[in-house]
Amino acid sequence: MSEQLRANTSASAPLLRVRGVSVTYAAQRSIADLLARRSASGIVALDSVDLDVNAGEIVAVVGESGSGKTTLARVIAGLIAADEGVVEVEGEGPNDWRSVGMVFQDPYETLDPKRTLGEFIAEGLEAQGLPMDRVDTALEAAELLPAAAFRDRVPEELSGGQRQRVVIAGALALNPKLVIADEPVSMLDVSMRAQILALIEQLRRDQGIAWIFITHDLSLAWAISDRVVVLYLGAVVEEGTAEQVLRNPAHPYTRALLAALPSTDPGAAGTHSLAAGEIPQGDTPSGCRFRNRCAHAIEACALTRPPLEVAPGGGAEHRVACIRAAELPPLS
Amino acid sequence: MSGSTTVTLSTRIRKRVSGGNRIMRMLLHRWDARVAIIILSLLTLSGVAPEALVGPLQTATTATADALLPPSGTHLFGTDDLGRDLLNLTVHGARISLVVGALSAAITLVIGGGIGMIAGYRGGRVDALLMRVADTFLILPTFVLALILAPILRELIGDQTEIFGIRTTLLTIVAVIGFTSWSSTARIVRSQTLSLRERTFVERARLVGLSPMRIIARHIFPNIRTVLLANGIVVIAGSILTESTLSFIGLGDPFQPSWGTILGNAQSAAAPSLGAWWFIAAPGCAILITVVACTVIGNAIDELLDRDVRVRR
Amino acid sequence: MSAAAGADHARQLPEGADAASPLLEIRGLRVSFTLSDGRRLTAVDGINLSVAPGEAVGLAGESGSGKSTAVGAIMGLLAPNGRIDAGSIRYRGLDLAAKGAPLRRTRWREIAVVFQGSLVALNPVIKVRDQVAEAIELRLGEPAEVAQEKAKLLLHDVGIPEKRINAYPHQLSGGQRQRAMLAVALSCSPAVLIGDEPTTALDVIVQAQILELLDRMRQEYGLGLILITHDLAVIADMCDRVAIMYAGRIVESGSVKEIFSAPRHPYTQALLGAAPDARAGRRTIKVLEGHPPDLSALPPGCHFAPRCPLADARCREEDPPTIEYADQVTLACHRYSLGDGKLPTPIDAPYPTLELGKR
Repeated sequence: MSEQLRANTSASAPLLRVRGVSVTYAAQRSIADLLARRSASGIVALDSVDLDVNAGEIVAVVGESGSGKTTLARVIAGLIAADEGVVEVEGEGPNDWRSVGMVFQDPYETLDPKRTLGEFIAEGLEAQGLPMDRVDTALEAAELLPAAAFRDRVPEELSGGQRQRVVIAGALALNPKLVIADEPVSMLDVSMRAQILALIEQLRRDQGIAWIFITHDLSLAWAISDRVVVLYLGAVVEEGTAEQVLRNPAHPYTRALLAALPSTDPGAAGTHSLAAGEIPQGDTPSGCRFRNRCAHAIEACALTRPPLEVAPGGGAEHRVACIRAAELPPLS
Repeated sequence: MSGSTTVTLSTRIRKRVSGGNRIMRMLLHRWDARVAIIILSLLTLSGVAPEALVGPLQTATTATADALLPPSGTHLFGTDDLGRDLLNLTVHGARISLVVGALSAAITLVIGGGIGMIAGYRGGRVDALLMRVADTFLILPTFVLALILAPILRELIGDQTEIFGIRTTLLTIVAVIGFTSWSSTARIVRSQTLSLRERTFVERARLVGLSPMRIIARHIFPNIRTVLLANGIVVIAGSILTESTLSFIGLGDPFQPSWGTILGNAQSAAAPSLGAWWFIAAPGCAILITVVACTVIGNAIDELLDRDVRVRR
Repeated sequence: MSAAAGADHARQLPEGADAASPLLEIRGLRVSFTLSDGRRLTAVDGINLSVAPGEAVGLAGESGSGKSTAVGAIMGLLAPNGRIDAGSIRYRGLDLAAKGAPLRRTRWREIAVVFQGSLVALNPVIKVRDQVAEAIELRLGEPAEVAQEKAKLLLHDVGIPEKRINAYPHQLSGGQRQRAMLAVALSCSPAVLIGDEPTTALDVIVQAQILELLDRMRQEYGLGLILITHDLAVIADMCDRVAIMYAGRIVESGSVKEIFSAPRHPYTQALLGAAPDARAGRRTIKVLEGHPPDLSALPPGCHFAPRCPLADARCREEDPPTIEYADQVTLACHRYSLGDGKLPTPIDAPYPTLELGKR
C-alpha cells in the first residue's frame, strides 16, 4: 500500500471500505451445455457493490433471500474471496481477523454441540494467541452473568437467546472493531429479540463497535441502524439514513418491502403486495433488475442499468437506482 | 439483566455427560440391545479369562473324555473327535474371535476414519485421490484377498513368531481384514465430514483462524465418534465371520483354536455324516450369536443417532 | 369457475356431527407428554378456542407456548408420548378428543393444515398437480379424470401459473410451493383451515402475497381459519379474534381490535411492544427479560410471574382464574378483577424500554 493511501485512510476514511465487489458462483454445466459446447453460466451473487461503514456505526443491509446479502457478509468476513473489487478494513485487506467478527443466523448451528461455551470462546483466543482470561470478560460483556456459571455449560442447556449471546461473546473476545451480524435475531422468539437488539446497541455505545446488521425485516433495520442499504439481485438499489430510506422510500422495491410489512399498529393499513412474483432465480433481467416485478416499469427500464443517484428531494446521502424515482406517486 | 437467575430456575444444571455414557444408557433402554450387551460381555469375559470359566485349553494330549460324546451333564456341548470338551474349546475360541475382531476394527477405524475425515474436510483433489484409492480397496473382495495374502504373509513372517503373545498367523488375518475393510468406513466418515464441514460452527472455527487439523480434531471427530463406534461394532462382526471362514478352510492357526478352526475340524472329522451335530452346533452357534449381537448393537446405535439428529431441533 | 372445486361439493358431515353445532369448539383442552425419565409435562393446560365459518382466529405465542401442540391435538398428530388428559375438541358437535373419535382420514377431510416447511410436506418425486389430484381421489373418492380437472382448477385458483401446473415441487419457488401446499389442503374442500406458521419461512413480499391468498380463500370458501404464529403483526393483519398463549395457557383473548389497541395482560403488552415497527414509525421497544419457561419445571401460580413487572406474592402462589368480560374478552391475570363485568382499564406494566437508534 502506498504511503499516500495510508495517510488517506487514517483520518476520515471509513472503518470498512467495500468497492466494486462482484462475486459469481460457477453453475454446474448441464448436459445441454456440454452438448452445445457452452461454458456454464455463472450465477451473479454480487454485482459491483460499494459499501462504507464508519467506526461505531450500525449499517443495515436489507434484502430478501437471493438478494446477495449473505454473500456480501461472507466476502467482508473473508470467508469467500471476491472475484473483483476491494474490501479493506482500516485500510488493510480483511486478513486481520481480529478486527472483523461475525454472528450467524442460527445460534443452534453456530455452537458445536460437543463443546462447552468456554471452549467455544477460547477457540478464537487460542488461534489468535490472545490471553485466556478474555473468556470471562467476553461472557460478561454479553451479559452472561456470572461468567463462571456459563463457562462449563454445553449449548444444549441454553435457550436460543442465550446461545446467540454466547456467539456474540465469541466475537467480542477477539476485540473486533466491526461485527457482521447475519440475521442475528430471525430465529429467536420475539421477547429474546429485544434483548439481543439491546445488547447490540449497548456494545456499540460502550465499546464503539460498528455493526453490519443483515436482515430481511425492515422494522429491525429501521430501529437499529443509522444507515440502510437495500440489496436486490446482488446490487444496491437504494441507500441512505434509516430515516430517509424507510420514511421516504424512493425505489419501487423498497416501497414494496415496506408495504408488505404487517403491522400491529391499529392505525396502519393492511399489507399489500406491491410487487409481483418472486426474486428470479436464473438470469438477471437486462436493464433494471427489478423491472419484471415493478408496477412502474417502462420500456426504458429494460435498456440500461440505472446508476445509483441522489434521490429526488432527499439529502446527498440518500441515493437510489431508479430512472423513474422522480415520477413515482406518493406512498399512501 | 436477570439472565443468570432465570437460568438456574429454568435449566437444571447437569453434569456434562460423556458421549459414551449417554449411549450406554440409551442402549440399556432397549431390550434387544440389552440382550446383545449381555452376550458380548460374556464373550469378553471368555476372551479375557477363559481359564477361570472352563480351565486350561484341552489338547489332544490333555483330553480325557471319549471321542464324539453327545452333550451330557459332564460335557454340556459334547466332545470332539479327539475327546476334547467342546465347551472348553468354544470358550477358548472366543479369545481369538475377540482379538481378531477388535484389532481389525481398530485398524479399520484408524485408517478409514483418518482418510475419511481428511478427504471430506479437504475436498477437491485430495478427496478425489483418496476416494479413488478407497474405491480400489472397496472392489477387492476381502475374502479372496485374505485367501491369497494369508499364506504369503505366513511364508514371509514365519508362523512361529509371537507378537504380544499373539501368533503372527493371527496377525496376518487381522492385517488382511483391516486393510481390506477400511474403505467402506472411509466412505461413511467422509460423507459425515462433508455435511459437518458445511455446519456453521465449522465455518466459524475457520473464521477465527483455527487450522484444518485442529478443526478436524475439535469439531469433526467428536461429532462422528458415535458413527465410528456403530461402524466399528459392525466391522467386528464382519471380521469374526472372515476369520472363521479362513480358519475353517485351514488358513487359521491350528495351535490356537478359533470357532472357525473347530468348524474346520468338524468338517474334516466328517461330523455331519457321523450325525455329530453338536460338533458343528457349538462353534456355529457361538459365531452366529456373536455376529447377531454385534449387528444388533451397531444398528441400535445407528437408530439412536438418527433420533438424535431428529430431535436436535 | 374458480371456487367450483370447493363450493359445489355438497358437504356431507361425518357420522355423529350435526350442522347446527358450532364449527370447531375447543373446551378445557389439556395435553401432556411423558418424558423419557418418566416425568409428565403439560404442554397445553386447559385452553378454550373456537372458530366460526368465515372467521379468522389467531393463536399467538412464543416457542414452548403450546400453540403447535394444540394443532397436534386437533389433527390427531400428537407424538406417541403425548396424550389428551382433559377437555373436548368438537367439530360440529363431534368430539375429536374422545376415545373412538373418527379416523384421521375423516378428520383431515374436514380440517386441513398448512405447515411452515412446504418442501417436506410435498412429495418431491410427484408432480404437484398429481399430488392434489391424488388427495381428491383418495379422500373424496372422485374418479381420476374429475380429480385431475379439479386439481387444475384449484392450482389455478391459488395462483400457480398454467405452465407450472405439471412441475415437480423442486421446480417451484418457495412461494409457489406454499401455494401448492394450500391447494393440497383445500383439495378436499375442508370447513376449517389451520395455518401453522404458514408464512414464517417466506420473504416479506411473498408472505404478503400468501396472506392475501389465504384471506381470499377464507372468504371464497367460507373457511374457518385458525392462524398460528409468533408474529402478532400477521395476526393483526389477518384475523378477527386473537388468543395469546404463554406456557400452555391462554392468558388473554378477544377481538383483534380490542386486544391490539388496549392490551391488558402484561405478557401481551410485552409481545406487542417487543418488536419495532417501521410502518408505525416506532423505534422504542419493550424489553421482556428472562426466558420462556421450562415446561417441565413450571413456577407455581401464574407462569408469567417470574418475568412480570406487576407480579406480587399472590401471583407467585395462586393460579390466576380466567375471567370473561364483555365483548368476549378473556383475561387470566390477578391484577384485574371481574368488577361489573365491563372491560377493565388496562394497567401499564412498567417494562424497561429501549429507545433504539438514538445517538
